[in-house]
Amino acid sequence: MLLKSRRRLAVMIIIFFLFTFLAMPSIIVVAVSFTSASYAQFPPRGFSLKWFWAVFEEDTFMLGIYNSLRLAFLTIIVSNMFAIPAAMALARRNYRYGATIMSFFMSPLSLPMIVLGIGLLLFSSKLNMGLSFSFLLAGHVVITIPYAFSAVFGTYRGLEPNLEESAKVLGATNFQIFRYVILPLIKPGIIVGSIFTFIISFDNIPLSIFLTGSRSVTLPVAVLVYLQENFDPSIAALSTLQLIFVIGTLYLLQKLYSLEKLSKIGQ
Amino acid sequence: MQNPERSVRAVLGMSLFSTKRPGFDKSSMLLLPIFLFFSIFFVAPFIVIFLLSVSKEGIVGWTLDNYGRAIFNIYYSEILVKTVFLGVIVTVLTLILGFPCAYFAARAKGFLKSFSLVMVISPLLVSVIIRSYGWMIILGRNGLINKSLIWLGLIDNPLKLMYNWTGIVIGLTQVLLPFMILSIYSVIENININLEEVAETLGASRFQVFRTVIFPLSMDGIASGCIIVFMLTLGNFVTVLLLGGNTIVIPILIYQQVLNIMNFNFASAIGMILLGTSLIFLYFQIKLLKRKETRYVA
Repeated sequence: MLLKSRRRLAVMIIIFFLFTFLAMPSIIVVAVSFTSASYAQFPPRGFSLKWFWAVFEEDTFMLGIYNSLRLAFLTIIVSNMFAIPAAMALARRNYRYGATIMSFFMSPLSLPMIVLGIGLLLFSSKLNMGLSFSFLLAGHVVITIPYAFSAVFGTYRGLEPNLEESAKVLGATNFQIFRYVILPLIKPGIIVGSIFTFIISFDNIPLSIFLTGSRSVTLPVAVLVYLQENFDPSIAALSTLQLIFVIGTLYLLQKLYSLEKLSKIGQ
Repeated sequence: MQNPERSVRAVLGMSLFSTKRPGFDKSSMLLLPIFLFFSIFFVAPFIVIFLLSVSKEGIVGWTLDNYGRAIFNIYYSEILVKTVFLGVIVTVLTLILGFPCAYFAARAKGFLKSFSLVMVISPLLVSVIIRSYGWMIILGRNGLINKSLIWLGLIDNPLKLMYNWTGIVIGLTQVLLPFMILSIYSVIENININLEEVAETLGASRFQVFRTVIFPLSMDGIASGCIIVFMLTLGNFVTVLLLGGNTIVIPILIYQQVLNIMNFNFASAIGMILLGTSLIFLYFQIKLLKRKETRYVA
């Protein structure tokens, strides 16, 4: 390395503090979830799993988990349904306004979600549809399509066009080419896109807060409502459960596909 | 061979996708579903917001009063200005804190590199609510910081670190830091380390290397990181709500106007102002992207 060892030590210390800064809130939340006190503070006092049980007893949390999971999976399916064909078309064909079209599909990333949220809410009420689940789903799909699209696009563009042309020469129909050649090869891209889609949809607040009702409440909204009035460690326990779920899923995926390869796909 | 005619056509370049043929054809049909979907659920809502913002009641009556109220009424314009100011502060802080992290992660190798990436990316997997909640525990009156400082005897009364701008800035900086880091990281990765080594060999101090080599070449990453963090700060709802107490920023104002006060027209005007700001930055983002694609960094 280019750094002298004394300077190197200073750098390591600074980096250590910065990483701690990044990780601190999450670690503290996990620690607090095991407290036996009835107030959320750090360092936590006592050791107890009672707050985990409290999570399961709270109806709004259970309803929120169910709704959020259902919504996230549906979002993944619908998002990919739109994003995969679009990515294939834009990756192979050289349209004159291809870049503009792509920017259009990626633009939900840069536009404030809260404006889209109230837009969908007011749009649906103009259509006299009220708080409909389809608008909630549609909103989630719109904001996750950029992720699904770019993951598949990047993967697909890396494929050899010769593969498809060889399949064509050998007599495959377009559908067969898609099913047996393209689909297996873009699977990593679809998976990466789906991971991002799941995370974005599950944790989403700006859309969900406007488009959910008391029956279709999603987990983040339920937590937010709860936090306005309570400050007990049940939220900490819930967060710990969520973290375990996320880490567990990533670990499983790491076993199936190397993580470094996946992180390159977005680029 | 199964179907000679088909293979001949394939060879003649009429396969599923041929790369260099401009114009629309059958494969362009693949773009139709997404276009339709976006028109209904992405473009139409924004049109509705626009129409509401220039109307008196519902979508009848043309007026600019909603915008006038947002800009000229002190109460509201103060909120707009404070939100922008918050954006600037958080952007600057994340830049100062994030650049060293990004550089370190980019120049690290092997296990240290993977570890750094995990440390930077994993907070993003944790919901904003969880991280903001964590800050509530740290910054509160009986929170970690206050308890430690009192225990160390450095202060007598707890500092007010939460339910004010201080808490918001700290919380938002941590929440958005990964975005800045990743943005700069990906650019520094592409800067050939030989450039730095050459500069050092020619006698430059580390600071000079930074000023003349690293900093100019990473400008793209810095710019896009700043844009991302600024926009995310302007649109942030949760962290401000949890850590700010009664502090109002643009998204919270919109929320109040829509769900509490039900003044949809005014809320839409504020939303349009926010949207307009985002579109300006989106334009800069696209320009940056075009620049990135045409530049070659040795």
